[in-house]
Amino acid sequence: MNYSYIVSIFIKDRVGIIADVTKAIVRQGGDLGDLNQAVLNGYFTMIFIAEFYSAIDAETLKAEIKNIFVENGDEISLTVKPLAGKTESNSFDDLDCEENYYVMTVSSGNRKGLVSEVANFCRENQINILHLSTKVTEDDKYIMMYLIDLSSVTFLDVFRKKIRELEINRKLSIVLQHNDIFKATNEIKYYK
Amino acid sequence: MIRPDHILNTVGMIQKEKLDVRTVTMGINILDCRDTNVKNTCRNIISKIKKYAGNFVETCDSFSEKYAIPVVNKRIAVTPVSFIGSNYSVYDFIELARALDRAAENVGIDIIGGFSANVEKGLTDADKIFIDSIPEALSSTLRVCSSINVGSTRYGINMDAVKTVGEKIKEVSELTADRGGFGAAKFVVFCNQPGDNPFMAGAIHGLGEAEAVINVGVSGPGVIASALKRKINSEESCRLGLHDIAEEIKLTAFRVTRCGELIGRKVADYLKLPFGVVDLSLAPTPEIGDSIGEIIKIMGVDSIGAPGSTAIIAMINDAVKKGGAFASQAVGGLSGAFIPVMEDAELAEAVANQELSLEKLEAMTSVCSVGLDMVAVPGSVDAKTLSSLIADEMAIGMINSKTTAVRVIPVPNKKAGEFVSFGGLFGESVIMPVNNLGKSERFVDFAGRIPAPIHSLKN
Repeated sequence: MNYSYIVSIFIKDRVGIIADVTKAIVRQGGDLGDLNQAVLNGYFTMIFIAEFYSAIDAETLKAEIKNIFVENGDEISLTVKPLAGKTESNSFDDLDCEENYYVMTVSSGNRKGLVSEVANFCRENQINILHLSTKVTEDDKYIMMYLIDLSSVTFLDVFRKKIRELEINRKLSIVLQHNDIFKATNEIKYYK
Repeated sequence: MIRPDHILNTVGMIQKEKLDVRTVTMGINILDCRDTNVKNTCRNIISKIKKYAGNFVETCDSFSEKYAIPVVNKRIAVTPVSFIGSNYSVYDFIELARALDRAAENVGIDIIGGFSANVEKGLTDADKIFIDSIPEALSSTLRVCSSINVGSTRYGINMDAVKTVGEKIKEVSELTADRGGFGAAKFVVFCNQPGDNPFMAGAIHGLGEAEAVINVGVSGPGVIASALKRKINSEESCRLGLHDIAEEIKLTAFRVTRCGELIGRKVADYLKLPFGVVDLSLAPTPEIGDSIGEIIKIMGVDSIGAPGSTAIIAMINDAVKKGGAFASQAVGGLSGAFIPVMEDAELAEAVANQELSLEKLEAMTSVCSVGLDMVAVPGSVDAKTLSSLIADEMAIGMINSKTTAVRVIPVPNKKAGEFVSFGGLFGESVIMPVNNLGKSERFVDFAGRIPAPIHSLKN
């Protein structure tokens, strides 16, 4: 039987964080599964799946990881949760799921509440945001790139009309395109 | 997840730089529509086109919406009709053209190609009658385009056909004099005509093709112009060589081609048809910012037609092929840079400013992917001069083992320097002067054949 946990870490960035985390996993005889990591403004965050082949509880695992960082004088925010059942592959890399994945690129002059407005619009339309990247341009334009799952949308043209209304009401510029077009134009492998 | 800068790059190409899929063209075999009674043949053609293309436009539009990439033209090409016209009269062929026109209208298509013949080595009786029907067929229909392949590297140039075709261009122009001779804009003469070219007026469904097939023609002059401007204005510009510019064209052509390939394959899969080819051509439109001429200027020649213009076209043509060939599983058609004068605002302006002459344009066609395309000439230019002009262009194609074409429009009652406009994608320009009128008559009167070049003997 396997014991699977999902772990999230938030810590001030420095050299060797991943080495320290994986040392704790290996010590307990564990194995890393899917992992996502990012650094923003000097802070490191990571979420990953760890699998163990012998029994270990969440509190023990959490303590194992935390001790390494405490010894090093780091302040760490750490969450460990057990995963029930089979682990799922990373959703936005799973080709079978991609038929309904779209990229919604939203741009506007920079102001407060932009992400909130778009996220609320997605929630009202039962649309899940799988990934979000943002960028502030030199001319203070705020650009948001949402990878969204449109499985719940039956008619694309109706959804586009709603987007158009959002554009007008909130003075945004929005482009909605299927994810495949970005893969086709930027990756060597051809995606059918 | 795609990188944010890649997302912005692709969005920019489509939103700001006029990237579109210029045409999705369905090729349909109509050989099996033949009946000894032309009325039955017409009925069969209309029925078959409806069967295959009934939801073609709707399908293209739906994928266009999904990817937010405009599919500008949805078109149909059929088997050259001369192949199904044995024993038909001129009137019968005109009926076939009208049937094609109706068939296109029924499925919401604005242009249909394939009122065509291949006479590269000789003319059958049916071919002769077919060619006689072209002026009336084109002047009495809205959507039908016609093409004739009069030569090839393998077989040489059929000068009997070239002579006749010069006369037919004059006739169709005069029959459509009320529209500035527009009928001639729907007629193109080829050497080495490809059977899978999706672009009009020369699209056909060649012999050897499947029952029906989807081919795609991409666009992209605006995208390439923008990429080059960015490159030249970048911090590294002081170290830029032409090889760097060629590399940028290749990279951009890759992206442009991928867009076309994606849309074409999706349409083909949905319609359960085989996907044929992507034609990598850089096809300009009369819209500002969608011009091959602009690329020539960006690359450092201030007047299109000035020395250096031919070298630039050669480099663009080659770089586009290299980038596009890697992006696509199957490349075909014309694949290169188009220089259609009336359809390219910068080229048309160069003609108006007397910077681009017909002779220089001809030199540029020896390294572009088509030929003398959408060139308006005075209505007074005689048929034999037109035939000689065609012969010159065909010779360039024959010797260089490449496709060349002539789509020249003698504009009735107008002189060089006057203006003609056909509107829409057909564009507008000042009428180009043709020098040495009537000086080639004896050459054209020899007729016969120009033999195939020595390098045709490859077996």
